[in-house]
Amino acid sequence: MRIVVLVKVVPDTNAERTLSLETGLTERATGLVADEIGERALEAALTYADAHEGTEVHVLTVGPAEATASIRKCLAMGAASATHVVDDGLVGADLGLTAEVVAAALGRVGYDLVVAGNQSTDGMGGVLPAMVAEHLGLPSLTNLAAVDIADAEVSGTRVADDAAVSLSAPLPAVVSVTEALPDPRFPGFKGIMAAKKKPLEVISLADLGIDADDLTTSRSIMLAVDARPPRGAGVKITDDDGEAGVRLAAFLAENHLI
Amino acid sequence: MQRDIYDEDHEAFREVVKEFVKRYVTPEKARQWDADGEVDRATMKAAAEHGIVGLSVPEEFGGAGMLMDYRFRSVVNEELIRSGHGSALAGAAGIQDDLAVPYLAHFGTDAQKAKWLPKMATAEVLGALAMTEPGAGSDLRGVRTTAKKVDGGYVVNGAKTFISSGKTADIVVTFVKTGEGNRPDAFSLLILEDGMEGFEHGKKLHKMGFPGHDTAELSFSDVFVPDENLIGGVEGRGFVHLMMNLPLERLSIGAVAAAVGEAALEWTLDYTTNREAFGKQVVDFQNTRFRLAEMATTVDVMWAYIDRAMNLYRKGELSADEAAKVKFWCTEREWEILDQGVQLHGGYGYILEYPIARAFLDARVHRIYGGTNEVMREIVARSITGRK
Repeated sequence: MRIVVLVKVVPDTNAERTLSLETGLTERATGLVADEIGERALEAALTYADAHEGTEVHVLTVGPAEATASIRKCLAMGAASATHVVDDGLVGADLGLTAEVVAAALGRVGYDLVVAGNQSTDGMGGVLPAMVAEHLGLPSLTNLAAVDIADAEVSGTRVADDAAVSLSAPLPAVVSVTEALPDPRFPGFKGIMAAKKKPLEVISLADLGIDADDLTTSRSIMLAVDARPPRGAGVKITDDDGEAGVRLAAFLAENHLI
Repeated sequence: MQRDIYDEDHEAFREVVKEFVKRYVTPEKARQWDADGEVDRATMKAAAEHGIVGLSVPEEFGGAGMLMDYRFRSVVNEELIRSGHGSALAGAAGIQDDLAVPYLAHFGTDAQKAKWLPKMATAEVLGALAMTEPGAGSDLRGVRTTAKKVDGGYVVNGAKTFISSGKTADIVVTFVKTGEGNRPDAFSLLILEDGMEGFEHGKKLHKMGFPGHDTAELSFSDVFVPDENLIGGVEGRGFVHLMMNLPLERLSIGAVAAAVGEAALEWTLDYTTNREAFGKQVVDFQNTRFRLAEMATTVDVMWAYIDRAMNLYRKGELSADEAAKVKFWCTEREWEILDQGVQLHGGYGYILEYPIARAFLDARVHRIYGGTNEVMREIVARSITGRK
């Protein structure tokens, strides 16, 4: 079985993240890391592969050239091979284009099961796995808090506000997982060294036959970007005449807060 | 100043150590080690699983094969120490990889390597090195522990003290007298195994620093040690073996000192930036700025020196004399930086909850063990004057 894990590479949440007012993109100078939810997805795939000989875990990343170190980390964790789609045409790509690229790359790589995180730490779109499934005409199980992979089927539990829903689908299928899944493993010295010898294919949009500027397809386009205006000073009510309570209530009423 | 001895593999490994620190080297764990006086074996094994312990074990025996490349070891030191909670683990890892494994990996017989190294790579077996005795420290030829040849092995009598990892170690590479007089060929290294009859781990010593890493007295009364435990299988090579590992031992202490210096600078910068006095941040007072500038510069120079030494070591060209310079010079700069760091922390620098206070106490022994800094100066003087 071949499990392909979608891993997004995102700005490190432990570092300061700023939005470029020229491009509308997050400044990537602070260092990129594999999104933690993607690592959890990888963990789910690796756990199954550890127990089932003949299962191959492949990592697919769409992202800038600097993503290589994070992809190597995934290989060091235990993935067997990886594909990295890099192209200047993908800078600032919207969900639609990204889904198209991921689906095309999956077609090239081959898969029995696709596992992804439910949403990225930076974009927080939360719909990419479903869009990819739509492109590929596959069943899609989203937001799984538990995953059970079997020979010909994948099942899991989606926890909603008022119910836990059990879902299953025949393979091939696309699943997305939540933070409820177990913590990902982390590599060691030997994994790092082994990763250097594992295949990492770098491909471009041309390899996938996709034109990022194809205007016959709907794309979201950023028209303007502005920094959030600084917060103004608030209203201060001081109690110097014993009437502060009344004025406070009036203020709250005025702002429709009571 | 940007260091240039690390490549992407070292940086990837640094992330591994950082993640290990996040998951395993918590303040609670450090407190536990302090209370127990030792690092728990489960943590040592977890560290070995990620290649953080066992770096110097050859690849064929399950290790990382980095015996002649200290860079990965330095990354381990740097990240464990920087965390402020990892000095005990850094110490325990250092004893395994810099002091115990090398004697087996370099000088052991094939049988000794096959028996011990795979288990040392996983930390199932921890080692220690026993040289110092109550009456013999830097002056090694004064040791009195004897190993008398008998049929099939040796009978060992004597005592060792100040043995790092001496309580937790499963095997102790022990420097013993197998011949008469104090000629270099009168000494050998024997592997003493925990549990051998007459081999007692004496009392755990209470030290000024490193409360979480065990240091013990060992005593030997008529301990029978089989021939197969004679390192290298040839008698009289002990002194030469010790001499050959001196560059690594001295380099490792210097490298730890540089890592501590760098961490102390970071802790102090962080503290003075967040602390206010007389209406402004402490970091904005000229005295603080000047002292921080000096500390930062000293750290850069230490690394320049250590990095050069690591490169020489990698090529097999770091002499024991050169390593002696590195050891005494770096540990003394470390001491100055820590003293300055404590001062800039004010009263909090004296409180053991702050890493700077603990590091200050830990560091005092760096000028003493591994050969005192006075002995290091003698060695350097001898090498440049040619006179004993």
